[in-house]
Amino acid sequence: MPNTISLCMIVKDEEHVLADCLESVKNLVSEMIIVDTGSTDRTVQIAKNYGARVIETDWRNDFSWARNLGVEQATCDWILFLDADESLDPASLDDVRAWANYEEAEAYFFKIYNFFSDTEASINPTIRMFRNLPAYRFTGSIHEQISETIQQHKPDARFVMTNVKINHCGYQPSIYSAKNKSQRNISLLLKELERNPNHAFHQYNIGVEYLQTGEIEKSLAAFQKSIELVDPLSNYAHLLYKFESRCYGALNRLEEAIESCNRGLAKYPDYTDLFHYKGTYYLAMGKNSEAEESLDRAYSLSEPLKYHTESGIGTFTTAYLLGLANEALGDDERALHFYFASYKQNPAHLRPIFRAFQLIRNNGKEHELYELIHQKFKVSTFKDRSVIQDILVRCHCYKTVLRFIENWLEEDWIGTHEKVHLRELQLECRLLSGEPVLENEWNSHSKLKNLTGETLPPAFHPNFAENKLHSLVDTERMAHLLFATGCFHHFHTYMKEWKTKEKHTQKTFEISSRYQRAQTLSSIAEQHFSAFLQNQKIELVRSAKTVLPFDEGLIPYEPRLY
Amino acid sequence: MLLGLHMIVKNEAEWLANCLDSIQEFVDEIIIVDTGSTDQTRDIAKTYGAKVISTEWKDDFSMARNSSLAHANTDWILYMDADEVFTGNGNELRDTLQNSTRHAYFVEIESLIGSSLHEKTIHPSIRFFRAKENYLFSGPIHEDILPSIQEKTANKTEIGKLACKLVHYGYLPVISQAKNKAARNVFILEKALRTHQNHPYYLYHLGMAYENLGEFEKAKLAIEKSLQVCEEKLSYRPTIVKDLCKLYRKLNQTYLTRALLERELENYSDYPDLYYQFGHAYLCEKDDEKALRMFKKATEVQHCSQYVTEAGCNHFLSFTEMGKVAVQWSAHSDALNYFIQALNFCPYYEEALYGITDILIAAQLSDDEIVKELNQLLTPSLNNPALKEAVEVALCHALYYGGCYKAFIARVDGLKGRPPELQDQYVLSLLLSSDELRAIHEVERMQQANAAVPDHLFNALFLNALERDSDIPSVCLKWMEQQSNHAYYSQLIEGVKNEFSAEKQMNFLLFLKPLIHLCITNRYYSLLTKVLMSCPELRLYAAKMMFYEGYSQLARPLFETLNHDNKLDGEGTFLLGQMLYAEEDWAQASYCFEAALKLQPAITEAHTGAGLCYLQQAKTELTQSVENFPEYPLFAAHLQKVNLSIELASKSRWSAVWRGKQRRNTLCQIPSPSV
Repeated sequence: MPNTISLCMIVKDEEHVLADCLESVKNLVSEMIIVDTGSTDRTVQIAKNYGARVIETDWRNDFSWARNLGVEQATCDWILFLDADESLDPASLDDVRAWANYEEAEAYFFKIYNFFSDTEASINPTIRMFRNLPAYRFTGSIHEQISETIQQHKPDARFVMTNVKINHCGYQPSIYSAKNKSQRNISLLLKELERNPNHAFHQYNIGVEYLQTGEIEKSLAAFQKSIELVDPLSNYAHLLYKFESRCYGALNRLEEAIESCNRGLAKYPDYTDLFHYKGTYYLAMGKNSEAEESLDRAYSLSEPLKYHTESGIGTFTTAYLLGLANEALGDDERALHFYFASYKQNPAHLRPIFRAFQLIRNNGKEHELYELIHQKFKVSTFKDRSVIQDILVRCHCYKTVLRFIENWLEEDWIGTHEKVHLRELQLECRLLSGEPVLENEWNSHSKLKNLTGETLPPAFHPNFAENKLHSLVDTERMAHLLFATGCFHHFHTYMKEWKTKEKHTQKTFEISSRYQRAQTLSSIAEQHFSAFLQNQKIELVRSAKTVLPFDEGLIPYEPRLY
Repeated sequence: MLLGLHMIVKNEAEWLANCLDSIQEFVDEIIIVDTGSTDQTRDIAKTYGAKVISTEWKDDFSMARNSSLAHANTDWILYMDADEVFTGNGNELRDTLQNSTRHAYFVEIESLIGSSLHEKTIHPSIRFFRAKENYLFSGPIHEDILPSIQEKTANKTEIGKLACKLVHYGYLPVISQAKNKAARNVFILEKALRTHQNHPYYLYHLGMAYENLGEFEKAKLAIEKSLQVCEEKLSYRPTIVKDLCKLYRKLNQTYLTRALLERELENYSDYPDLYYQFGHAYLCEKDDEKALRMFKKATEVQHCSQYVTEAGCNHFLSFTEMGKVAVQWSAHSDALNYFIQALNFCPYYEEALYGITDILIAAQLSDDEIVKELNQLLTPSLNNPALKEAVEVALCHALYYGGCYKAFIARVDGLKGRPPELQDQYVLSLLLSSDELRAIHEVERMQQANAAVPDHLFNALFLNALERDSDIPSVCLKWMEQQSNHAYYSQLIEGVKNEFSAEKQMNFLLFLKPLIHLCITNRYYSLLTKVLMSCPELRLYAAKMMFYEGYSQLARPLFETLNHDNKLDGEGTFLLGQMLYAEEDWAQASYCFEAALKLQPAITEAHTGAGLCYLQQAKTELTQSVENFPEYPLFAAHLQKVNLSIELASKSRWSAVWRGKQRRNTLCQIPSPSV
């Protein structure tokens, strides 16, 4: 007979998320025991709908006590515990069943994925399932732990690191009001620490909360206290060094941040994150070869298995930073290698591609770009074409766009509507790349008509349709067109109008708009510097050009319809 | 006998006595080979008891020198040229030779190359060697004894170094007929190169001869070739590198200097002149930061006497350049320190004194305070009277170019005589201090002393009278009558007093141009206004000159009017852009720069200006964004990049820079001429 699993939870006012959680495990567990600490919403109702046994109690400022209340009632072989804002990944169901029938282990680490956005997550391995024995009970009033009692009763107990994935959406900004929750936790933890100031785990937890509220100095002190006290074998000990270094990093005490990484690495030599962060601090200090070395270690270690980590560390984020370090070192070949590697591992992140294209253009090697794109990318669908156009235009690689358009216009299988757009873009790119364009050609373009007149033609006004971010990309292109056609007066009018209009938009849009406008200005400056450098070899101006900020694709691509 | 002097001469009557006077008492015999003098040379030689050997000139210096060696009766031989003099302790020299176990000795040759005390090069040369060893000169020009000595003595330590010096003044422009000599050398060297193809030493000197003739491209070819074929171990190779750098600088091809020194510097990393040249190369490329590093290096390397060094490269010249860079960056206290260090090595170095004056002006000190500061800086105990005078003259120059006219006059009055090089400035200073009576008197005095009075002094007196509506001094009237264009003077007087004729000839306008410049520098604004009212053709010129002379505030309304009437050319528009940029009107400034580029695309600096305008706008925007949205770190990151870029591009010297009196003019407030 297969072993059985009890789900034990504590909840309060979780009506928005509870159903998702219970839905994810209903076919796995044999019973659900839910301790409700005073919900005033539909939480209890929802739990009961799933056949859960609900224990209603008042809240006593003690997480362990509440959890143990549920555990006492459990009858199955294993206890699985989740928070209401977590759910078991469907792909892990079979794994959990298999682990439940494994006889050697006392408890299992599952990987909690904390999502910050659609693609960014931190990954934290945590004990979430343990053998249902009377001796195994939670301790600690907040950030309750089970491992302490297990280790007490069975010092050689085996904890197994698994790949079981739990999705946690608690940190998504829309749901998580970090400040409040942190404030609540901090007051709880302070109370605990008053009683027991030398509790390593509490010190660690309060450090994390202080980091959330931005009280970095307090956070640092807490982590350092915790490092002093901690048992090196406990499951969060490695994290202390990462957090300590991040505190130093946030305080811009970079030397100390690096030392902190080194102390951590002496104990956990395979902890990718420490190499990664060390690399970022070296980057910030401008010590690029040291940064490169450390990041390279992180990259070859790849994503750590047994430690808390963040998505991208050891993989695409590390690769991106390796690109930056190599670019700074002047090894463009290697920089490009890592930018493309980063993109390959996470195609949702276009930033490395933006950087790669800029780098190629700045090196005067735009003529190689067309072939390179063919090697690295598949450009066959409408979306592929749009994405590549978008990036190339935003990286000012107009000559390359023109080569693509020339080919696409000859393809029979590309629709007429798209071709109309491509022809207009073709004309724009010819203007933007400085090719001579006849006036009657301009007039064939829906927007460029009457551009040479005294006033700005009607189509030529910043247009933030529905506050769509991508309208900023169009706005910038229009500004560049005015500049490229030598209509400086119009250009100035246009920029002024852009500034005025953005004031009346939503805050997030306004921020992006300001960002993009500064981008446009520095990109025009870059064009002037380039023109200067065509005639004179002045190293200072060349450097001035190189350090300029450029479009790194922070405004995401949005598909458009024609 | 111990020491014999050996010379070869031809028509050296003028100099020979000088040379022999300096050494006669220390040598036991004098042997002079004359290669065909037609003047008193031989007679003069004989009055010093010299043995004179007449021989035919065969375009080969070595041959001539070797012919004298055969007649030597002494243990040691010294050879000199007629345009050299011996300085040092001759008795000590004789003692050294008496007890010597060596085979030959280097002495330092100090070549004077300019009128100022510091303008000289120093290089070691073997001039003393043992007669009985049958050493022979080789090479048809710039004959060399060293190869022969090296052939016979395995060890280089056989060659010592003596403390005495030979001062060589034959390169002085006033003395030498450098061109004739150079032309002669080209002839000899080309002949020699026909038999010794690609001989590095001949090629090098051929190049130097071409350089003396002003044929820089030919010089470059020869010296580059010479360096190419010159073996690394040859002692004169670093000198070739140095002189090639200097040549590149003359040719305005300093990018070649950079490429050359990037290769060569590591071979001669203790040669200060190379760092100095490298510094200048960077200056030309406007990379002041790297230039500064090179000049600093030039002052730091351990001086090593094996190189041909130009005096000052390793100290005061480099320090002064460093000071100039620091001023550009407005690092005035650093600059002051550099200039003071330069003066420690060369107290009369005018550039350094001027640099200090410039800094004091920038600090808006009064004339009295400036003089006080300068006095404090000067070395209190200058005992050498020649040195003291040199310092005084240099200081006067610095005061004049710093626009401290009253202080300048007082200082010149305090000098014993009136150095002719200060005369011109003295008159102008009197006029600028509204002391026209003394100015007139000075000019009259100059005429009486038969000194040449430059035209612009008469013009200045004339314009001064027009400005003040006083009588034109008679000394001026007399001069004007002698001028071919005296009719134009009358025309101008008539125009100012009554009215200009409507029709103005081109030549009359050309005649007015330098006078307008004088009106600006001497601040004759009512006169200037009158002329510009009637001669609109000259307004643009006047506006530009006012700008360049530092009166940009004054010129501003004139620029506006011209711009409004579409009368500004590319340069004028660029200048207006610079004024707007200084006023932080970024949008209008960029508009001007772009308009300037449309009118005159060759003004590439306008691109830098325009780029900076956009970055300044980006900076304003980003600063505001950082304030309003501190939670978005991207704004701060971008701001940092933009700031860095502004800093870098601003250092590229894209806009006008004023120093000295021009800088002073930018600070003064004078009502502007209304047009």
